[in-house]
Amino acid sequence: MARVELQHVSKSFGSTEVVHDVSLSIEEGEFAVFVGPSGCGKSTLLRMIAGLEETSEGDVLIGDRNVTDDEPADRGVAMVFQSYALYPHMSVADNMSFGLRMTHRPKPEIAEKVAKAAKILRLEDYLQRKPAQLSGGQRQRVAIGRAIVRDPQVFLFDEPLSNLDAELRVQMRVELSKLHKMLGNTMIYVTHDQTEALTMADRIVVLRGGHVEQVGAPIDLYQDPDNAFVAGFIGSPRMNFLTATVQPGGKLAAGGIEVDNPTRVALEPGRVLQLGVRPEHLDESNGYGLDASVEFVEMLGSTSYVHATLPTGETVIAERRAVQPRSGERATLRFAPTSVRLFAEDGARIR
Amino acid sequence: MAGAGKRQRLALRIAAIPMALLGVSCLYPIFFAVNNSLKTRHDYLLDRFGLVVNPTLDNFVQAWTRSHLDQYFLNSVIATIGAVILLTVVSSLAGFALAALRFPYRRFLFVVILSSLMIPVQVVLVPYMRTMVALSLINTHVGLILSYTAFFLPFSVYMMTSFYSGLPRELIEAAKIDGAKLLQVWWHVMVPLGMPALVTLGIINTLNCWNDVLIALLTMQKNRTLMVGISALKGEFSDQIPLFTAGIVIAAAPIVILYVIFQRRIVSGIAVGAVKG
Amino acid sequence: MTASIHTGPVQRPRRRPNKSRRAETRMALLFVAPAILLVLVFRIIPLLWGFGISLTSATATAPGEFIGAGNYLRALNDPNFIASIANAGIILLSVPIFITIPMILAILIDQGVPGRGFFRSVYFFPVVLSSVIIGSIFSIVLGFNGSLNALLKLVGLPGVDWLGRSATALPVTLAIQSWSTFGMGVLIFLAGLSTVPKDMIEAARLEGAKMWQIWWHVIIPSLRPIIEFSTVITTIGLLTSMFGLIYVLTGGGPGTATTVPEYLIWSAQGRLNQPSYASALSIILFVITGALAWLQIRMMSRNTNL
Repeated sequence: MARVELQHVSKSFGSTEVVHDVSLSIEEGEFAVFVGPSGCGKSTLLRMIAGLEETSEGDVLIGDRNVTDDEPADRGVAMVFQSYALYPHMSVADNMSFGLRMTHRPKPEIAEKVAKAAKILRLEDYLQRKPAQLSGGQRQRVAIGRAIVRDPQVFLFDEPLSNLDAELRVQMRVELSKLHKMLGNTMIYVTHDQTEALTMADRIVVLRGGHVEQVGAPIDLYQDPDNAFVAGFIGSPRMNFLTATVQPGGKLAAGGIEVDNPTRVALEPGRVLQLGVRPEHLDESNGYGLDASVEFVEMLGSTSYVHATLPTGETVIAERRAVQPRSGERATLRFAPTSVRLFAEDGARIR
Repeated sequence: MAGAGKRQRLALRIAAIPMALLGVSCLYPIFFAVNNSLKTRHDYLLDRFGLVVNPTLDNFVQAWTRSHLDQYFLNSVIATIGAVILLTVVSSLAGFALAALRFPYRRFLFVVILSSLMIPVQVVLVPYMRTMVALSLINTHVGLILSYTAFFLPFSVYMMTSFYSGLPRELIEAAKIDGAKLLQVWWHVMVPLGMPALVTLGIINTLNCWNDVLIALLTMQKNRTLMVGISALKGEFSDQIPLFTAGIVIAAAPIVILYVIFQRRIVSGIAVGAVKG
Repeated sequence: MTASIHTGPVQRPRRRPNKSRRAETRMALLFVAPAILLVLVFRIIPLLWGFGISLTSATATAPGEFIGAGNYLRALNDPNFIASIANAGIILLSVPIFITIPMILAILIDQGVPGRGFFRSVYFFPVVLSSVIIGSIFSIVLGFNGSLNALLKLVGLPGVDWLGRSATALPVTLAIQSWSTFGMGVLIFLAGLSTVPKDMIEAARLEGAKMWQIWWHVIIPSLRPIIEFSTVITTIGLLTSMFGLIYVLTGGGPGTATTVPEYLIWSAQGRLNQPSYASALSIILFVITGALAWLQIRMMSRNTNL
């Protein structure tokens, strides 16, 4: 179990820079999730921690040791790949013990560690099978077992659930969280799915275009985003963004209504800003009311998502629990002043 | 073939006749050799074409013992097995590096190995012999093994590089993270996974080495290999056909057996190389 | 270099490959080394050395002196060499046959001629036999007192000295070479045919095309890359793989009837002991086959995405 620190890490492939000057620290025992859209550099960052890619600039420290120059095998990391990367010609037991055998650990030690990992992951009955004879979920567990057995300082996960079907994914999410609680190792997890990030992480690192957009606990990113990108990326369905023009007098005109300035900062009239309200907050009985014309309603059982148009022409999504309006009807979408998030022209949050 | 017209089916059936004759002609020569090798000299002179009446193994015994075929056979075996082992190891290592590892000049080195295909032994006949003499490898088994390896490498490296580049790169990354040194990755992962290609390659290289005559002629003049020996026998036994054919059968037997057993592999291995080429 | 302002530890300059990458480079080069070394020592350096020797008057014992293009000029006036080139020319004229016959056979097999399994294995059988084996057997069969003539006598036809008459020696040798290698061509074309989409053929048949029309307009054009590859390989093979057969069957004779460049090289060195002349002939052969082989290599390396 160890701390991981990235100091001013950059990575370029040829002339394209894919990671720009990233500095991060991940605490001992923390479950950190790197999340972001495709091409944001999250996998590259993970691979640099693993040692599979060199850093173009900057240092990687694991447990206060500078491992920037070290080979993957010497860094004390273990990695679970998206495609599991199991050795097809070896049994489950041999797959899991591979690393220990290559480093010439004594046989009793190997047997003990494999048995322990197999027990945790419920693979005891499958130890002699080959990967081809296992289901996707089982192969996943073998890949995790291979990592557990080496008792690494840091566990690295590269989109491990992407190849599983939706149902299995939900199941495995829970299992991985339980695993983290049980083992307590530092875990760094890469995904493009913000739901996985929100449910599993102690802290989330949101990346875009090779830059860190925000680092924080899930609840902080949800409630207190630093910028419009994070606000829109975290939370499903996506936060509604309305154009807000600052009126003389300081109030904001957005979505056809007038809203008080929610920030502590004075705003110059004429500025065109972005006002964000989450769909789940458009279900109040008191507060500001948007006059909306319902386009259509997505019904998901206990919850419905109402897609409506505002007088300004903008579309919003509102979540409804109990009663849903019908397509074509008019509805008043109410939200509390505390639900408002204001963002500047460049996307930065104004608090 | 679904939907083939009746006329087409008839045409195909008619075509099958000359094709069958061709097929038989492919088998006849070996049959001819085996058949005549079982006849005594006397019987052969009496009846050249007919099936052997009183088969005898005397010719084989004589060819084996009195015409030194036993020595020649052994020399061929040593050279072939040695070269095939060396080819397997060298092409597997090179294929692994060229396909999966990152290092400068990778593409250049691959092209260098492939381009030596332009240099068959005839093109370097004189300097090759002088090199062998200079390295004291002339007339040695080691020399012949090294030569076979050098002259059959390009296709082997090509096949292994092709094969290994089809393996997922994460497999090797996982092995690296697991703590395996590169040589361990080769031995524990690349060799087992490469088995299908390596076995096919081994068989093809066995054919190449066993059947070679020019390289062996240049390299081992005292300690002849089987093919060189047979070609020398021809003059000696031009009037003792059964004896000669017995020698031919001994020389051909290993390959024929190999073909009968591994026919599928050989055919598919070459087809893979061909389609890719 | 990004223009960003850092308030923190001093930024390191771009570094050269790190320790781990250098270790991998070392190991990788080590893995490739045996192959490179073998190819270098036995083929590439000898090529250059051979070129050097060809410019001298070296003999088996003495290094001789520099004579520039002397050996090459000698070749141009050497009747043996001229004969070998003429024979090579005749052989190369037969390449279309070497391509067409296997192709037709492959198409027939692919189209479902009865007995295809049998044909596939049997046609390839001669390919695995050594040229010495084949040559030896045919020398028995085709000798003047051999089996073929005996058979002809039985039906009243006169025997022919197949291998001993200049007019027949080369064609017969060529025919045997064809017989021993056509199976490989059939195989290669079969492999290529398996990539021709069957629906294209079905569609053509539905539109009323006859069998030979389908062949000419659909199948053969699809086979073009295979035809090209096969042509290159066959030509190289005819120029560099006939040694064993000629050595055993005719020894280059009668006279120079079956002498080809690759045989002449061996003859100049092995029999006449003229290393510098042999080297010049080697280089000439290299020039002729080199261009073809380069084409083959280009096709091969294009198909292995490195």
